[in-house]
Amino acid sequence: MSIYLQKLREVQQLVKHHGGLKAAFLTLYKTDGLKMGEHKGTDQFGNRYYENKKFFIGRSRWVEFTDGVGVDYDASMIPPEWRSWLQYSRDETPVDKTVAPKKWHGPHIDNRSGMADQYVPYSTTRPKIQAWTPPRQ
Amino acid sequence: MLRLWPLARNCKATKALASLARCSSTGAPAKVEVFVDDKPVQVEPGTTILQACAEAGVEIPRFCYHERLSIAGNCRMCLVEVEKSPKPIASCAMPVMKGMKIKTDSEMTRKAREGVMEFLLMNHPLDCPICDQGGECDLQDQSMAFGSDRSRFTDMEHGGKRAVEDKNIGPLIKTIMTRCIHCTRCIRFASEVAGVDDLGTTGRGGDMQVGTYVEKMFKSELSGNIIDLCPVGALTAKPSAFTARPWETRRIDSVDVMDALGSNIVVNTRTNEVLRILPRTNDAVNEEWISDATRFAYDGLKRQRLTAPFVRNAAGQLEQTDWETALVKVAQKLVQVPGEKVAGVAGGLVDAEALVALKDYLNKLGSEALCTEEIFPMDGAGTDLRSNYLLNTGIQGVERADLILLVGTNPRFEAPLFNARIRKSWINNELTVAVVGTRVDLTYDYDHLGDSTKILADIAAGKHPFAQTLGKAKNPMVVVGSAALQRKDGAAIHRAVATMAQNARVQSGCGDDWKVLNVLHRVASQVAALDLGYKAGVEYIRNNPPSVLYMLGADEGALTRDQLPKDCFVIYQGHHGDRGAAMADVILPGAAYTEKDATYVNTEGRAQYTKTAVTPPMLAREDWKIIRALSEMTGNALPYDRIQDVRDRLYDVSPNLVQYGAAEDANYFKQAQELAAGISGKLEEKPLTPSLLNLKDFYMTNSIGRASQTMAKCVKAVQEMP
Amino acid sequence: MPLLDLAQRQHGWLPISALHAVADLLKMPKMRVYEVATFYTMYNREPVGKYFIQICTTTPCIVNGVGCDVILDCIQKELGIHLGETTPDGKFSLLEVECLGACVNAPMVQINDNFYEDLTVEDMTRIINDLKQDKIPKPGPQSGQGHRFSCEPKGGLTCLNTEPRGPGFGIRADL
Repeated sequence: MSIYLQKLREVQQLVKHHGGLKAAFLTLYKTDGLKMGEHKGTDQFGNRYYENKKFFIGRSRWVEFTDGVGVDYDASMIPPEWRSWLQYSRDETPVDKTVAPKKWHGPHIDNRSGMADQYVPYSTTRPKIQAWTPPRQ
Repeated sequence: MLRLWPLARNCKATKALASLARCSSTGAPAKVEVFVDDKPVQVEPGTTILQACAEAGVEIPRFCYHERLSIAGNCRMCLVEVEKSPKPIASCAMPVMKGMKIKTDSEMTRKAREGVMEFLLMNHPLDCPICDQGGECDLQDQSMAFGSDRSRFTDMEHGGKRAVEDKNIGPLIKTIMTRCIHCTRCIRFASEVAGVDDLGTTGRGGDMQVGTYVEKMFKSELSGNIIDLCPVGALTAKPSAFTARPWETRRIDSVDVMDALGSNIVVNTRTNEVLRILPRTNDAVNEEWISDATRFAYDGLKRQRLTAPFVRNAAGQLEQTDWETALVKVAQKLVQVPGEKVAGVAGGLVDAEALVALKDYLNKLGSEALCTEEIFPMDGAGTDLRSNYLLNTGIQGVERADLILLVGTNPRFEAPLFNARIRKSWINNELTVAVVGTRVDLTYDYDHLGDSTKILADIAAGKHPFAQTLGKAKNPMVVVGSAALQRKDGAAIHRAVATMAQNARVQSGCGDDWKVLNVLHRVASQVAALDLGYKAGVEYIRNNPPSVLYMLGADEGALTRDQLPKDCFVIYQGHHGDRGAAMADVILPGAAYTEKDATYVNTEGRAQYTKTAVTPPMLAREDWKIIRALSEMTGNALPYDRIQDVRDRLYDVSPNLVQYGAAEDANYFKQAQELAAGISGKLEEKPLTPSLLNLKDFYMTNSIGRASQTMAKCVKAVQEMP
Repeated sequence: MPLLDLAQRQHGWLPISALHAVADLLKMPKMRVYEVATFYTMYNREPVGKYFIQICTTTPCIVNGVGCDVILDCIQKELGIHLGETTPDGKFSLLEVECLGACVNAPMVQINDNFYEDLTVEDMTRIINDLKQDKIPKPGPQSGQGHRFSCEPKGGLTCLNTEPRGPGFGIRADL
């Protein structure tokens, strides 16, 4: 019986953690799961990073994407310094230990494939048909 | 290997051999029974062993033997065992004898083939991976089938393999002479079919080389065929070098439009691109040869193309646009002007479907002004009787003729394969050729009667000595070039030629089946256009200035802007940006002959069709569809939606247009003669000069040829190389 | 072919223009003339000296007499040229050829149209020295190996050395 009570308490805490029933359901809808953890920081885009060492490695760090994107999120939205923490390449978060930006670092852009401003490399194949250009008069 | 090619005409032996090879022996002697692998076969006496085996369904490997060339017998690949013969016998050169027992799969035969193959490979480089012939190489195939499975070639310390310097024989043929196995097919082709004795063997033994000895271009209009003939990769096509392997290409049977013969071709494509064009065997038209323009002008299909509609803007510049804008603009204009002020001109590369669509459409609008760029005299019977404008005897008919009179034509460049046929007949059949017109090199001897039109009148009137010769001939032919009929006095020339043809027909007693009068056209669309009732020549349009001119692939400049009213609205529909497109107000991009299912009728009246090998580039569309779309916009839609419907319509107009492969003949010479009596035109003094005199004129005769870089290189090479 | 030979005798060798002239004369395609001229090795398609020495190095010439390699060495030493070369003054050319059909009198050389047979080193030196002074030595078997006429046996005749017997020889007396 106490197990059920404990579970109920956990759910209560989860809901509270996520800021109310409605917000909790929204997060559940967006991320297919509700996890509670220590908020380690937020990046420049507003993505929030959490850690809970209760979960085993691989699940112990996660991100909740910024609210504006809804379900339209993508792993490439995570900037590289947070990505390295998230995937256990580094133990310190960029908040704990800032990464000195190198001069060749550009601003982080997420993957634009399928969108209007996607990157298209120039063609290396010669055109098969050479079209006629009308003579100027 | 030294071989002296005597002028075959004077050499009875060669002729006898040739007739043996082609087994065209007259009469019907008793057949000979031979046994091929114990299977009895009845063959005509004089057949070679190789042919007898072919009849029995056994194919003998060969390199030097070719059905349409004389027999050389120097590759030795066709060795077979014949019972009671101590040595294997070269089957291509050995006539059969009664009761011969041929063993094509015996131990001795196999060993002989293996030995020959070993000798051939001894001096052949093993560079198949970098050889363009790889995949369609006779040597490759036959070494797989008949060769040994290992090499005994170890002579690396001494001479190694033979290496031969490559020769530069022009911009079309790439030579890698180290690969040559000395089959001499190219040499025989050059001297027998092409009639240009530029190739030969020099040196002897191990130093023998095939080539031109001096640095020289192989100047022939049929030169590309030696690429097909070469059983190895010694002669390959320069323009299509290293583009694709033969097994990667899609092959689509089609028809050529470079001249009026409609040679049968195979279009090789890959990734929606024409890679090369090869001949397709059709004994009635091109045998298995094609001309260089047919074979190599395909790169013109990729350049100077109209890939999108153009509309002339307020500033007078042609501006690229989309179909809707262009068609709306045309439709608006067509609706505004009265129907009789609309005129159409068809060029030389237009297919029958587009021709009928344009004619139906303009007729619906109320216009009768439909003309072709090529002129043909309309006086008398004119184009009403088909026999007036066809090559009535047919291309194959040349082989039955014993006298040909060429009037104002140079068939060597106007229709190279027709000329090759005449040469073949001249060699094998005692054909006599006479020419009225400028003296040109036709690759065979002829009686030059002069180039004055007066001679024509004299022959027609029976005053010229040649009139008797013509009357005495059993199967005479009179071939008049369409260039001669372009002149002001074309009608009079046509009448003179028709008269002499009719006289010859009556005098020679050749019967009703044999037709004497022949017209040799130069462009592919002309016969179909005349069949459909187009007016030949643009005289009518000049006399009745139109407000809207619809130019369907008209690129030869028959009508220029100056000859049209100032405000005339010109629509050009075609596939190349050439003279026609430059003067147009609206350009509608059409499809070239490799890009559509289309019907073409050749100069003998044979309907043939092309198939879509590649899609039209970008926004270009099939021609009849464009006209169909336009008709719908102006509110009088043409009643066909599918190509089959168009062809049904063609059938309604003229059934012969869809009887593919057959040359519908026509025989109205007497009637034509009666109608021609009313022609008043007089012959002019000007000498008769064909339009194409030299090889350099031959390459660029239409918009595709003019756009082709290969053809431009050819013209340059012909002028510069010795 | 006789025409080509004539042309060669006129020029000493066969330039391409000579081949063209022959082709025009015979109304033949030029290629057919090239074929003949290149097939036969005795048509010289490159300039040769005034005296064109062709030395036979086939088996009988190697083994017979002093041997052709000795003769060859001698010529090369005398003229200072190697096989296939021409002296700078354009007087002599040397070429190695196969059997010239004078095996009985081996070793031999052919100089222009003359055969010099039964050679020794001394003979060869003498011939070349004569030719240098534009004197044509007597062709045929040379002194070196015992004078003989044509290809008679070296040691004098071994047969046919008596008077021919008259008619009736060896026939029975009663006939």
